[in-house]
Amino acid sequence: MSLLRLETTPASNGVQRVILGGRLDTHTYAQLDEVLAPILADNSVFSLVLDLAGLDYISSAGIRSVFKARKALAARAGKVLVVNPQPQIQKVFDMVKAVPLNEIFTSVEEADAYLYAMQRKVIEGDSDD
Amino acid sequence: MHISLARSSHDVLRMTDAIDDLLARHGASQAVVHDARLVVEEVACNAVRHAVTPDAPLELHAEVDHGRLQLEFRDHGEPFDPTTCPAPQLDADIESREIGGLGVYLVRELAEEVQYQRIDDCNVLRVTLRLDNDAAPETEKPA
Repeated sequence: MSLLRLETTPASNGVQRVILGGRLDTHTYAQLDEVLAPILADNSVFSLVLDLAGLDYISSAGIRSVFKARKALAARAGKVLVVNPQPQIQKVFDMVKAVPLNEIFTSVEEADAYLYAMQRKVIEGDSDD
Repeated sequence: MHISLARSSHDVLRMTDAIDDLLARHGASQAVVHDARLVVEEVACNAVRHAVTPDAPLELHAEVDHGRLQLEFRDHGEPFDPTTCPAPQLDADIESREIGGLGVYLVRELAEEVQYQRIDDCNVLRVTLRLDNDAAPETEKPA
């Protein structure tokens, strides 16, 4: 069985969290792309938090989905943050530099604190525009 | 010795599950099972997409020997040597970075050894993975 579990919680303050479990591979990446499509098309979302604690396996097909999300959000100065990858997933991410190390967090709280700091910077920086 | 054939994406799933089972029987760690599954998925997906026909499926021979998983993939497609593919540009900015080429690169990084030969009009790819390679980064290959 190749199963991917996906759970989204309602977006708040421009942050959308998606919880992944199981396997993200050539058989399942399309399910993630489908869930992400409306999120990436929504200009009010600036940060996508991928909670990977339950994700056991990823292959290049899954990494491509993460890349597509990073590209889409980078186009509007947004970010994809990764929370709690298991060691085997972290190793593969490191090998292909899938996500910058400072955008990988060991807890949801840490990611939230980072996002809060980022939002403050954006608000304070608004006068520069 | 485990032998399996793949003509379709669904067959690739069976192939990767079979390698999981083989490694589980040898008590391999979760990290090793992950890496082996990834190697088989990447090589088999490429072959199923580009190299197989209904009469000429991808053939995989797998065996565990001396603490290593030995994989031999054989297909009848056009010559394709993954050991000579250029590495993807890992340091490019996300907006300009190409999305492809990661699968072949990961196979080379995760394996202890990857050997390609063209034999009897077949692509033969031999991949060796260590079973004691617990989550540790692979030993650095000379450049």
